[in-house]
Amino acid sequence: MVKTPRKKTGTGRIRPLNRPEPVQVEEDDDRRPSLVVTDGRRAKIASIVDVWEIVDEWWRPDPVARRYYRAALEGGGTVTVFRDLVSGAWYRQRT
Amino acid sequence: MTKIACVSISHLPMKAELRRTPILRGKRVIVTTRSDRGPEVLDFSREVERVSPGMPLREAVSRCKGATLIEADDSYYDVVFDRIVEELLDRSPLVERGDLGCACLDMRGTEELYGGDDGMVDAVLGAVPRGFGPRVGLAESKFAAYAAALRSRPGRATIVPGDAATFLADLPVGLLPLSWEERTRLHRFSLRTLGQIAALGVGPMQAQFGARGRLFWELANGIDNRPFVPVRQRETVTESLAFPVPATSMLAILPAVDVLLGRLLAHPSLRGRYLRSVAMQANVLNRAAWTKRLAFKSPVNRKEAALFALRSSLEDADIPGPLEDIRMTVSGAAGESGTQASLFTDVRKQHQLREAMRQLEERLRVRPPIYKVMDVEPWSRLPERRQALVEFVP
Repeated sequence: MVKTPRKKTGTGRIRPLNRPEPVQVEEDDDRRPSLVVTDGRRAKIASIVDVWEIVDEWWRPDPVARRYYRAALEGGGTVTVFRDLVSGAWYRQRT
Repeated sequence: MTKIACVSISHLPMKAELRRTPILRGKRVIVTTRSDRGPEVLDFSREVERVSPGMPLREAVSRCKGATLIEADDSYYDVVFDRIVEELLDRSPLVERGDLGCACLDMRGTEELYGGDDGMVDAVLGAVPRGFGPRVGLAESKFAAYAAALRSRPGRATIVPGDAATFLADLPVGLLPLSWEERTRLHRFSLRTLGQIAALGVGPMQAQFGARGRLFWELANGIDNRPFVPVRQRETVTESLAFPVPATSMLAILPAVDVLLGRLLAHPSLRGRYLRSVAMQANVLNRAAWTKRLAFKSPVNRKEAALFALRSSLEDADIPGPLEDIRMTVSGAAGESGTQASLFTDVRKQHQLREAMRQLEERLRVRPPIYKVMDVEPWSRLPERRQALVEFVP
C-alpha cells in the first residue's frame, strides 16, 4: 500500500478558513434576500448579481444543499450569502 | 602563601547619594527601596537615628520626622561600585566582586611590588575614593579577611596574624554566611562566637546542619576553601543622549535608541564585533532612574537586528515616567568576525522569520499564534473546505 505523501499537520491545529457565519437576512416575496445585517448594520440589497446552488454529499447524514446569492449593496460593496436548503437558515460566506 | 585583602564599604548607597548631591551632607536622609512588603529603608545618613535597613518606611518616617527621602537608584550604586572595582583591578589583577560594597583581592605575588603587608593595605585603601570610608582586612583566607575588614574602622585596615582561628574566636557567629533559620538555630544552641563553633568539632556541626555545618566549622577555624571567583574584565562602551524635552512616548524614545545603537556599532572598539547584551539607563523626571537590560539571544552586529530586539523589549517595558536622557552601555562584545550568509534569498528569509518567531516566543512565553494558509481541498465547491490555517513551523 502506498503511504500518503502528505505531511501530518495534526488535526487539532487546523483551523478551517472561510467558514459560514450565521447572518440575519430579510427576504422579499420571492424568498430572495432584500436586506442583510452585517457587522450590526442593516444594508439593503440593491440587486442580486449572481445565484448558484451547491448540492453535495447527499449520501451523508448531513447533506449539503445551499443556494448562494452574490448581492450588490445599496451604498456600495457586495456580499455573498446562502440559504441552507436543509435548515432554512441564512449564512454569510467569503467565496 | 595566599594573601587576601577584603574591602568593605558600609552604607555605599548613602555615600554614593552624598557624592552625587553634596547638598544632602549633614541632613537626615533615608534611601528607600521597594520589596514585596512595600516601601522600606535601604540605607540612611549618619544623622538618622533609631532606623535600620529593611524597616518599613512608614515606621522609619514616624521615628525620624522631617527626613529627606530618596528613592534608591540601584543602577547608579552599581556603577559607583563598578568604578571602585576597576580601581582595585589596578592593585591586583584578581578581584572578586561580592555584594554591593564588598570586594576581595587576591594579593598573591604582589609582596615585592608593595613591600609587604602594610604596603598592600595602603595600596588597597588608596584605590577607594575618600569619602567612602573603606575598611580593609588582610588575611590568608577570604573569610578571615572579611571578618578583619568588618573589625576595622573606616579608612583603616586590620591585618590578621598567621593564626586566623585565634583571631576569629571572639567574633560573633553573625559573620558567617547564615540564613535566618540557621542563625536562630545556632543561638538556640547558645553558640554565639566563632570560637564556640570551632571548639565543637566538625561532627556535631555536620550532624545538625549537614554540609553547611561543615562549612561553618571550617570558616570558624579560619579554613576557607570556597573558590575565589575573580571578575572578568569586560570592555564596556557607553553612549548617551539627552532629550531636549523629557520624552514620554516610544515615538521619541525609539529614534534615540536608534541613534545610540548606530554610535555604538560605529565605535572603533566595537567595529566588526557582535553585541551580546545592552543595558539602557535613563534619568526619569522626578523619579528614580530607570534601567533595562537586554541580552540578545544570539550576538548581533547589524543595527536593524539589534533595534528589532530592543523595540520588542521596550514595548513591553514599564517606563516609570518622562525620560530626561538615555544611556546605552554595551558589554561583552563577541569577537566573531562574521556569520555565514545564505546564497538563496528564500532560505535567508526563512531564517529571518524563524528568528522573529523565536523572539516572539521569548516575549510571549508561549508558542506565537502564527499560522499559514494551506490548501486542503482547493478543488472543493464548498469554500470552507478549500483552505485551512495550520500552525506555522519555519
